[in-house]
Amino acid sequence: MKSIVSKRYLLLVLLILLLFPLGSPTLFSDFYVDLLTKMMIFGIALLGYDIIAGYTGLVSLGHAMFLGLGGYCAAYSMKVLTTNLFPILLVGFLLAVVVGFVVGYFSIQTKGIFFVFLTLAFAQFFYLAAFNLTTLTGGDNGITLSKVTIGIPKVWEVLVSRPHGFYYLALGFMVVAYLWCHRIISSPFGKVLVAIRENEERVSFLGFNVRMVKIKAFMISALLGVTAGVLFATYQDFVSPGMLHWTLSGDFILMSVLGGMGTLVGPVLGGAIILYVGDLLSSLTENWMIFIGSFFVLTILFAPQGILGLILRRSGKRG
Amino acid sequence: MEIHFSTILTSMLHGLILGMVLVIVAGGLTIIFGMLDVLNFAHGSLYMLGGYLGYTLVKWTGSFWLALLVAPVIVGGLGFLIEFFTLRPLYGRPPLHHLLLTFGISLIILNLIKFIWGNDIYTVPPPSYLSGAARFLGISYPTYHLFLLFFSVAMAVLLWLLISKTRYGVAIRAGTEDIETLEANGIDSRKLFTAVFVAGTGLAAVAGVTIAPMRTVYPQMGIDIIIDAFIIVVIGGLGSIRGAVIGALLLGQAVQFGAVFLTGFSDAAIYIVMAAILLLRPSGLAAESE
Repeated sequence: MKSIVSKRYLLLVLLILLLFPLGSPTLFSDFYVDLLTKMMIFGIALLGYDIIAGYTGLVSLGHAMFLGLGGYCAAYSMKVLTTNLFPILLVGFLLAVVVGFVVGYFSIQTKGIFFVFLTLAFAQFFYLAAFNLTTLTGGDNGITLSKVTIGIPKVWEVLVSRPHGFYYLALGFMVVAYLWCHRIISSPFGKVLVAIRENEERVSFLGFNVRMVKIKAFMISALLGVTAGVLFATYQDFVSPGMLHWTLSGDFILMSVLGGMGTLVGPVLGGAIILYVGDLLSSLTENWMIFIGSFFVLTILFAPQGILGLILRRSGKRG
Repeated sequence: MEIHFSTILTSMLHGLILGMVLVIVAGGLTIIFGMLDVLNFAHGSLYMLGGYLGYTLVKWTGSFWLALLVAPVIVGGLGFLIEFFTLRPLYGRPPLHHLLLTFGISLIILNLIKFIWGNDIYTVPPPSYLSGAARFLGISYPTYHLFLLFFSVAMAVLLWLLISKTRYGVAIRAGTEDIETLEANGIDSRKLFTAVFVAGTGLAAVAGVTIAPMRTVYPQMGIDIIIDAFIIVVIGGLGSIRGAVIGALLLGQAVQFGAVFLTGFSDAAIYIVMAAILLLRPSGLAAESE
């Protein structure tokens, strides 16, 4: 399948992203490398979120549960197992598959707004557990992580130099995540997802096990959510119930709609914009909520296809 | 832990009052959703605005009743502006768009409240003759709480009469079923939509003002209520008024008994109730069983 944004532009973006840290600290401060790292980590989760929300049409208000799961998984694995990133990720994947399956299995019985709120309920259990089981999770104070390693000391020497080293780690993961997601949506499985979004009944008439397909999509998004969670926690050296809060799940919806759902690139772009604007406004004015709020109102009123949709329509093509 | 009868009774009463206030808030939300297909996220912020306006009006005029009259009118006016300028162009779009739009509006209102009233918590004094405590069945219970219980029951009954016995009610019920047929019968659905939205937001403000003497007004009150109210609308079966009433009363009890029996985990009670209902009845309480 052709990518919605042409390959040329994506390669150009990749090139810019590869060269970007070289500009710091002469052209701009490290702050921007740090911000971009966060944008890319969020991007990984948003790619996964787009598979379930954008392509399959199941909008979840519980995606923070996977970020938090990844975060706490990293914290615990470091305590009892290892500080090496890759085994931690493996444990995370395992958790994502199990939790993704269980939560997916139950949530998928419902549709539409009911699905939105059932996923919220599941996510709130995790949030409340993290918040209240103080002996295990440190409650509201969270857990401070040890410094992460990757098992190859010399390479790590480079990678540990934050924010630049971690920047490339995040970039690498985002590129892999994008390629994976792109492959998924281009595959026959991806076509079934879109078909389910458009007309679920017909897909089941064609003999597909709609429920199983949905659960698989949910597990894929869980996997990427946990990956982002592990990376975010190891980048910040910190995890707290904030990573499980429902407002974060809400942010995922906002970012996706703002960027343009069902386009893969759109949600990542939307996430980057919201992280940037949010950061900019909260440093400029105390009344940033007014601006963010107006931003949403204007987007929904005048650019409901998201910013990417607007750009594509302007340039005369539609994905 | 030893549980006394008086603890149970107090919890039940508290839960009942909370449930009834939730009926008023979620009732408005449900009717709005049923007719307009709009899940109004700003509902909680408007309820909160009602509470803060109530506080200021009581402080300025000294009259609780005047505040109870004026605050809902102001909030209803704001509801009119929201419906007329932002929701009207969006009818027919997916519900997610309305949710995001009203989320944006909610942020704006929250920020305005913060701008005007700051981050402080305010207590609102009830009228002096309602400020004592009543003794019955071995417990002492604040008079204002009891007033609030009767007031919200009366409001709910009035609403029910309005919806089930009057011409407007017929139009509203018909609108929840089928807008096109309603229009074919010569009713201007645009005007009806506006009226329903304004009435719903006004009701939220009524709830905000009346709960203020019991729970104070505080910066989190909007978020607290909107999650509860949404949960009620959802477990009630999206747009079913009867379902919402049952859901609200259930949730009121869940919150209070959660606080007694699930110490430290009380917030989980409402989510347990919601998850259980949605797993057993994926389309809410009021839906036909499958």
